[in-house]
Amino acid sequence: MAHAATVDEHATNTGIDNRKLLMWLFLASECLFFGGLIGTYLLYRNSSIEGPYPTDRVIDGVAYSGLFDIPFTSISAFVLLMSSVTMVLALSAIQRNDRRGLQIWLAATALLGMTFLAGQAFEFTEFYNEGLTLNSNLFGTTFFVLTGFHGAHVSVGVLILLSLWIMARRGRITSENALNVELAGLYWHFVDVVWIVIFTLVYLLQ
Amino acid sequence: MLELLTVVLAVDGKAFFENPAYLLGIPLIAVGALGALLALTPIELKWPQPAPPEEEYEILDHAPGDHPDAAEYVKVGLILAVITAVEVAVYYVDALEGALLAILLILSAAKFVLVALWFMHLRFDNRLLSIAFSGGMLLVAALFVIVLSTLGASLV
Amino acid sequence: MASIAIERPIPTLGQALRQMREAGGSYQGIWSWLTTVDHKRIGVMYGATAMFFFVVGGIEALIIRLQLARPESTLVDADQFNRLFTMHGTTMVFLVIMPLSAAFFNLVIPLMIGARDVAFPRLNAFSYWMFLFGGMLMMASFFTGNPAGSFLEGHLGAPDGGWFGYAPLTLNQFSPGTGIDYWAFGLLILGIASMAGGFNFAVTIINMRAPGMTFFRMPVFVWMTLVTSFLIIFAMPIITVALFQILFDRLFGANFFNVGAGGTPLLWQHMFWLFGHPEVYILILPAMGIISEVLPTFSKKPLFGYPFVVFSGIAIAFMSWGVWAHHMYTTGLGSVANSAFGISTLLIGVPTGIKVFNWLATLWGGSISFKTPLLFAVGFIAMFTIGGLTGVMHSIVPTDYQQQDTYFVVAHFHQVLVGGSLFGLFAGVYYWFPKFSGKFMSEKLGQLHFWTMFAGFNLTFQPMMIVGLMGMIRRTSTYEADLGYGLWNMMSTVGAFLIAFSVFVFLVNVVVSMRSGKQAGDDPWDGRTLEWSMSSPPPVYNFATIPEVKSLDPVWHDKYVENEAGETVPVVAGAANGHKEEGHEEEGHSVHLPSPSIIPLIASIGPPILAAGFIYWDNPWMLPLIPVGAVILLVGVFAWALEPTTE
Repeated sequence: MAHAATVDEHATNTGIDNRKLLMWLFLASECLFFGGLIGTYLLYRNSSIEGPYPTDRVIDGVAYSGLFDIPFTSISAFVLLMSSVTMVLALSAIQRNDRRGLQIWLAATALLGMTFLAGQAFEFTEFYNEGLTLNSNLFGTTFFVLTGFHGAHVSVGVLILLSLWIMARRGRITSENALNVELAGLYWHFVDVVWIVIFTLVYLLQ
Repeated sequence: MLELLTVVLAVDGKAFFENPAYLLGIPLIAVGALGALLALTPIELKWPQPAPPEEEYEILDHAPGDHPDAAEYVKVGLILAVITAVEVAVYYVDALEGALLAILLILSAAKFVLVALWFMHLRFDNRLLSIAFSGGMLLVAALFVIVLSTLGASLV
Repeated sequence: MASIAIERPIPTLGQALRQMREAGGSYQGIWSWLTTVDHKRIGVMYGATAMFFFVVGGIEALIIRLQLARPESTLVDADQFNRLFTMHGTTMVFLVIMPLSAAFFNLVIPLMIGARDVAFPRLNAFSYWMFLFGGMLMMASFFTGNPAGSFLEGHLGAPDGGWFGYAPLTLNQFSPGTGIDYWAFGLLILGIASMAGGFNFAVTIINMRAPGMTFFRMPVFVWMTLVTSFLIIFAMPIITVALFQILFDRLFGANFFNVGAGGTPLLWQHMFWLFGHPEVYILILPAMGIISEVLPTFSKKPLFGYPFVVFSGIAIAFMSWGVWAHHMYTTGLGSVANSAFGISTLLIGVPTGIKVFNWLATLWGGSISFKTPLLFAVGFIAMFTIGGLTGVMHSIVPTDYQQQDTYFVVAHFHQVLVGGSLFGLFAGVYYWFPKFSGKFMSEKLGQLHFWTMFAGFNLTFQPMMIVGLMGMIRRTSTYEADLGYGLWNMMSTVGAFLIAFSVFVFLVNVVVSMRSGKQAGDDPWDGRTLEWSMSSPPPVYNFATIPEVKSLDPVWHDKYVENEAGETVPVVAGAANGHKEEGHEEEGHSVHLPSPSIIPLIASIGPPILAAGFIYWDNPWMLPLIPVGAVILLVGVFAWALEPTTE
């Protein structure tokens, strides 16, 4: 097909595929989105009037034990980080036309992503049981909305990965359309780097 | 996953929304609903697509173009794992408390940069993409540093 | 008795959709409009819808003006007045000027850069449908948003917090009812529409220019579209976050702006204006681009200082990120922040001034023909300059302390948005109408439109400046007789009706010209850019063969050369290696175009349903709308991904 579509008529001016450029512009835009949420969290970091608080503290003689469980969250963060590795291995596999490798690494990435989500659900539930809700205090509001939107992004990512995995199992992904995997990977890595920032600024910095 | 769904579904009405897990639950429930819809519907949702090529395919040793090898990705992954371990370790060392902020920021910036340069291929791709992405990052950092300082929030 | 069974197998969904696509490919009937992915048709739909909302917003403005015409008027009460000015502002900014600009992006950009369509035709259609449904969602609040009763009982339900929705005015405590929820969800959806457009045009302009069309051979309108697209890409996420925050506060009792829990409403102001000030330039830059096309064409001269106009546009975009707090001088930022933002605001006047001088120099010494497009363009320069200068007045902190929340501010931004953006957009309508309809707009009605609008505009907003300096407070439903505002307000009201008349003339002009306008040739204005090289209206595929661009203003250089004496003379007939398209008519039919698709429309039905579900989530009968909307959206997205773009 000489004229497959308008986009394929001639090479792009910059040599970057249209869809890839779109994805990067989208990610640049997402920086502002997460930046807004993280900025709000930082603004209100020490503004909560009532407990529960993220860390141990004593206010007016009353001791509050902190909610954050750093070892647990470190493992979550590590899981998400490793999912980035498996994701890039999936891309590397299909670029070498290794379809079986693609399937394995995509499935691994999706599973790691789901593990992260399960961890987040567990964490949310724990916090909820400790009395932290959206409306309990500013910490609850900003924490749940920030990490919740991140979790929603991870969910979307898992959905994309599972769709790709099904396509890969049916042999519909080859080295020619490896761009699909690359784009999903870009999104996935972005979600991962956002978590790197959140993990440091929200959990580790007190 | 099941755990998550039970958490979300076990609570009723108002409490459902008080439980912030619904932020995760809604997309997942939607996915489940979609799956059920597709499973139960008699309509075949299938686009006319060319049949996948059946022929044998050859696995290459190296990725075409200037993409790094899988081994290199694994190496970067190991470095990332080590940095994360160091971060957590630093968090528990009391002696480093004064420098905690600086150390953590540097380490997480290092992770960020490693993922962006290698896994997201910014190192090997057109510079335009790096400009767009770092433009977004720098813009939002600058804006919120100003907002936070005008609102009197301590940055540290 | 044997019956004959007529076997008509039920088509699979795939087959049914394929049949629909084929029906859509015929370019006739309503179905072809619902499924279109053609940028020209999407542009027309954007423009028509925006004009509809323009009339709605205009009626709101007229009611406001009638109320204010006399002191102590009781036409509407304070509550209704709040809702009217909120909706007037929101409608005009998000449902009129932004989509009108988007209409021009759609219509003109691919033609100007020599492309067959935008980079993502279906995303483009999605952008339009999201805009339409977002606008409709917002308008629905008129009927249902008021807790006191329905629209039929005389209770307007629209949002009542001002178009910038300052917390805590928009929190449940001060704005009960669902008006603000509709507003916030409407803006979220409109934001998605704008972002889809922004991504699409950024990619299109960066990646899909014709061979030889380097960045510095692009027409200024293309440049301004690129700059605007980047502003949209970076500004919209911030308002998205802010809107989510206000919605969490309203719907789920979160504490973002709750002072009782330690929150600060100033966060909203920062977030809103972080978005809001770039937004101001999102509104004005496309109009600046349009008049940068109109002025050279009607002066028969190249744009004076092309690189300066381009770079000042880029400079404005960068600087627009550093001025937001000038909306917040009176919130107690402190003198350091106030001074810093005052200086940056003064500085942003510099690139703006550079543009004005370049436009004037373009006109200087040209052989000017005062057709309607040029009238509007020149009107733009004059009115925008007044608007810009009053803006400089606001940048000076002590002055602004006096002017804050007076009608002087109202007059200032109307001077920029009506006298600036809207005049520029009207110039664009008159300029490109012949290209897309094949017919001229009536020059007589056009002149009448311009002069009544110009007179009405000045009659409305210059008295408003005076009354503002006298101290009249904005967003207040009435004023006392002995304050002495009466005469000025009456003048404003008369002027507003004059504007309304001029818009009526414009609409008549559009209808009359569509039916029986004078036939326009392919190049009625002796144009300079690529869109004038093709037939009017342009063929579906735009360019049979993609042109090769060798200079700025390529069409002009095909028609005219400079002789030895330095004079511009027409090219001898036959010598041109022209961009004319007629010869390639046959070839054009073999161009494969992206197939029409209903999927963008389906996918865009999901978000408003989701929004309705969340607005009424505490009603168990409405709650199921959430999964329904989500499933529609998901089905749409999956079908989108699986649907081949062309057959």
